[in-house]
Amino acid sequence: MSETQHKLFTLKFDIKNKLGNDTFETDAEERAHITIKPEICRDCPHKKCLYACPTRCYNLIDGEVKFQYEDCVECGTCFLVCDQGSVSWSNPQGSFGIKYQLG
Amino acid sequence: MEDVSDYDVYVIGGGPAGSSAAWYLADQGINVALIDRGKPIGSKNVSGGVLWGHDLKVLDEEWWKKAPIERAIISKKIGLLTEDKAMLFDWDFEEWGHEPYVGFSILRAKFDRWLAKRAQEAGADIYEGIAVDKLWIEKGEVKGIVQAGDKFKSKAVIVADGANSRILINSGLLTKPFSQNDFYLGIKEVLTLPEETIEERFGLNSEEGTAFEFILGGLPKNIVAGGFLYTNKRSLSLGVVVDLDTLPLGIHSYDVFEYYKQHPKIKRLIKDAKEEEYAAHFVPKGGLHMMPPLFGNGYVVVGDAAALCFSNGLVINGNGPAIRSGIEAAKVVSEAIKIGDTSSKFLSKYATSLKSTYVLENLIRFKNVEKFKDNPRIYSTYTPFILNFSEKLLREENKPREHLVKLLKQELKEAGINSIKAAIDLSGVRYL
Amino acid sequence: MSNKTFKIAVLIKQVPIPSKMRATKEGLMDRSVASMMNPYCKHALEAALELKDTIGEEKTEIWVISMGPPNFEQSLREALSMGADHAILLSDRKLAGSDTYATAKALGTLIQKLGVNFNIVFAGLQTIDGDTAHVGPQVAERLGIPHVSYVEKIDFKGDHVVVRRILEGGNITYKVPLPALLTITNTANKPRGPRLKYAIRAKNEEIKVYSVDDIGLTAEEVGSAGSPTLVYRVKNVTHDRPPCQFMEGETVEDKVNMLAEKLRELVEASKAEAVEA
Ligand SMILES: Cc1cc2nc3c(=O)[nH]c(=O)nc-3n(C[C@H](O)[C@H](O)[C@H](O)COP(=O)(O)OP(=O)(O)OC[C@H]3O[C@@H](n4cnc5c(N)ncnc54)[C@H](O)[C@@H]3O)c2cc1C
Ligand code: SF4
Ligand code: SF4
Repeated sequence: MSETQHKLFTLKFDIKNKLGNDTFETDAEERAHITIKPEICRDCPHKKCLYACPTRCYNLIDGEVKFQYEDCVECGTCFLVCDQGSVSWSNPQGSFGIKYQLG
Repeated sequence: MEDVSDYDVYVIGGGPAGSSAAWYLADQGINVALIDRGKPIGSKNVSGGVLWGHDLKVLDEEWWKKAPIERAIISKKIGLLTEDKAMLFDWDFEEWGHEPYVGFSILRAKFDRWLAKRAQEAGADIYEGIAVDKLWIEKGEVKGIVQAGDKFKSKAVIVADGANSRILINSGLLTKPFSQNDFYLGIKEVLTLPEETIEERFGLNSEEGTAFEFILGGLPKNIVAGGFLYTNKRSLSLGVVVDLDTLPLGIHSYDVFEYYKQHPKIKRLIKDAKEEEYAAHFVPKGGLHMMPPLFGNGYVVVGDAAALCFSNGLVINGNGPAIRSGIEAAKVVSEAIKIGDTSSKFLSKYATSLKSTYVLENLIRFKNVEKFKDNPRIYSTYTPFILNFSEKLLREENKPREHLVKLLKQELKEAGINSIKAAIDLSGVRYL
Repeated sequence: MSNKTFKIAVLIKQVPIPSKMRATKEGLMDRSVASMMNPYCKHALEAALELKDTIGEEKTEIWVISMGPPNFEQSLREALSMGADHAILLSDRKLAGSDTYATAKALGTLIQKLGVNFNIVFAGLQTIDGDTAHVGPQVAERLGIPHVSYVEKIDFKGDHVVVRRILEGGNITYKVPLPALLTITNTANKPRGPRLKYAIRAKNEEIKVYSVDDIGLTAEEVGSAGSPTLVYRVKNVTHDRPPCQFMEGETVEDKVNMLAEKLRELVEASKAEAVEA
């Protein structure tokens, strides 16, 4: 069987639907804890952030990488998979961001 | 503000490591503040999670009777999964079901809040919802902490801010920058299910729980990943850990989780369970190669921040080591405060005492485990092979059977496995 | 007292967290459940803190004032840890059952009693447990100062402020002489989190508690006795979350198209309903 027929490629679901179960306290956009530099992303050879982020905060829209801080669960992945220096990452201001009720 | 000091010790982070440290220090009468960026404490934290062992006994002989634990783990199941096959080893240990117990499933938001509260009752001041920026360092000496640009003086700081420690990054205290090779990404969902259904489905009495861990084999492009399932009182904790380094372009990290969740074996186990909460968090691969310095002038590092998380590919044990390292650090720090010497030289006693505990000993003894567990052939080749082979072996087709050895040889050849290489790869098992 | 010449008061209420909200048998809000600072009050506090940032920390002083049971201290300490300077709590069993009239009377009297000449008073637009939006304006009347409600933007001009008040379908800009009272909307700002510097101070700050006697009122003037509003009947209404439908699709465009289609269907359906009716 060819690899591309693996079930992993044929799953049908949208991760964003799960995020409704999570509790967020979203901070103001000007205080977003992560920012990217679009001019670096434009030339990025791999764009791994699109795949690695567990809540799909990175999306390719009209050929451009767009970042959405509101759905971030602060895992730290994008900061490490981006080896191009595009991602500035900090913790959100105290009290803001993801609020796990169970963990 | 700069020359008055409100506290002798600041503990940054109220996970198991930080709260245990603060609790111990407060018990010793040390003037300590515990600061956490989550509000309430625990709301940033994720585990599988089983809390193995009794490191908390130092703080409270009967801690588990008071803690918000879910179930006592009485059985353990370890399995291999490929796309359409599953194999499971199943152990029941009667003695695990009695005091003093060996492990408990926990939900961290509740558990961590309780632990911090115990520290508070012991006398620690708790500050929730405040993120510390970094350590205040002057001439190579940690003087205190920095928050929102303000400096706070103290005699010692305990860094307990977990995996992906921004405190160490922002303070320039890592030996080398973190890379995607240093962490697994843990993705988890809590699924609710009635208590009786859980007990019936998993063959448990009330208060009893079980733990599943799987190697996810045969994933495309040599993805290295494992899965877990733990029973809570009224929910299941289901999740995967994915080696980010092996995650190929085109596959989302959460696809691996969803694939696992939709695997027929898992699907039966979680039938009718309702999605309750989705979470993702780093798990340090743990090990000496990524460990930052554990101490310096005026500070010590504990728990995940110090990569003191033990994982042999099948279990993740980070909660226990976090608690233990927090306590060991607090012992040394409280002594240091009492005699007035928080120099690097004195605080090095923390590293020495950790070496004599299972925490560091395991990391040293098992430092080659990574070679085994991150060997993609385990996941991509051998796991599917074992399952295919056993399927042929177990199938009764009422036709002439092949001899075992012949079948094995034939199958090895078909799977393209070089038996010498396999012998070398699998000898890695001895690292487990 | 100090060279802090600009004095701001912020009225703060603590409310049950929405998922725990319920009424007691007597028809009053059950205050024994987990609670939090009323979100609108937090916006009012943020407006005050922003004003403090504008005028200068050394010249400004923020007083947070609340009326309620002793556990309201939680929200007052939270306000202090965000940067307020003083906290006052009016707490007395005699206050139980106060309607907005009695509440405003008590708060207004308290503010006068404090003897601080506040340059500006902020209040949340409304509380999420009472939802009346009456208290702020009534306190202004008691204090005899102008007020503007539904404020979402404030420009400080020294002896007056220029404020934008939201309206249905637009807004009005007013020039308001000080002192004045403003009630603040949730669109005005994003409240900040606590700061360690203030949180440590907040831990040790004394919260001055006043009783009804202290402010010179009698039991007849406040609480149920002093409230012209009579509660006729209270019903606990529970409802499930309406079924939530997600727009699924490969691209954003797909999802938007699907949403548009859904909305069109809904409009058609309601039209048909209207025709039937
Ligand atoms: C999916 C998954 C499954 C796991 N399963 C298990 C398991 O079954 N058993 C097990 O033993 N371990 C498990 N682990 C590992 C375990 O969760 C960790 O080892 C453990 O949480 C480490 O504890 P800690 O106190 O060091 O860090 P954390 O628990 O991460 O706590 C760090 C704390 O610091 C706070 N913080 C961070 N930055 C700041 C800052 N700048 N200022 C103030 N506060 C800050 C955070 O809010 C947090 O409360 C699992 C981990 C994951 C992700
Ligand atoms: S990996 Fe980095 S540079 Fe590349 S697209 Fe993502 S954020 Fe941009
Ligand atoms: S930190 Fe994690 S959740 Fe947040 S944007 Fe980065 S990858 Fe996504």
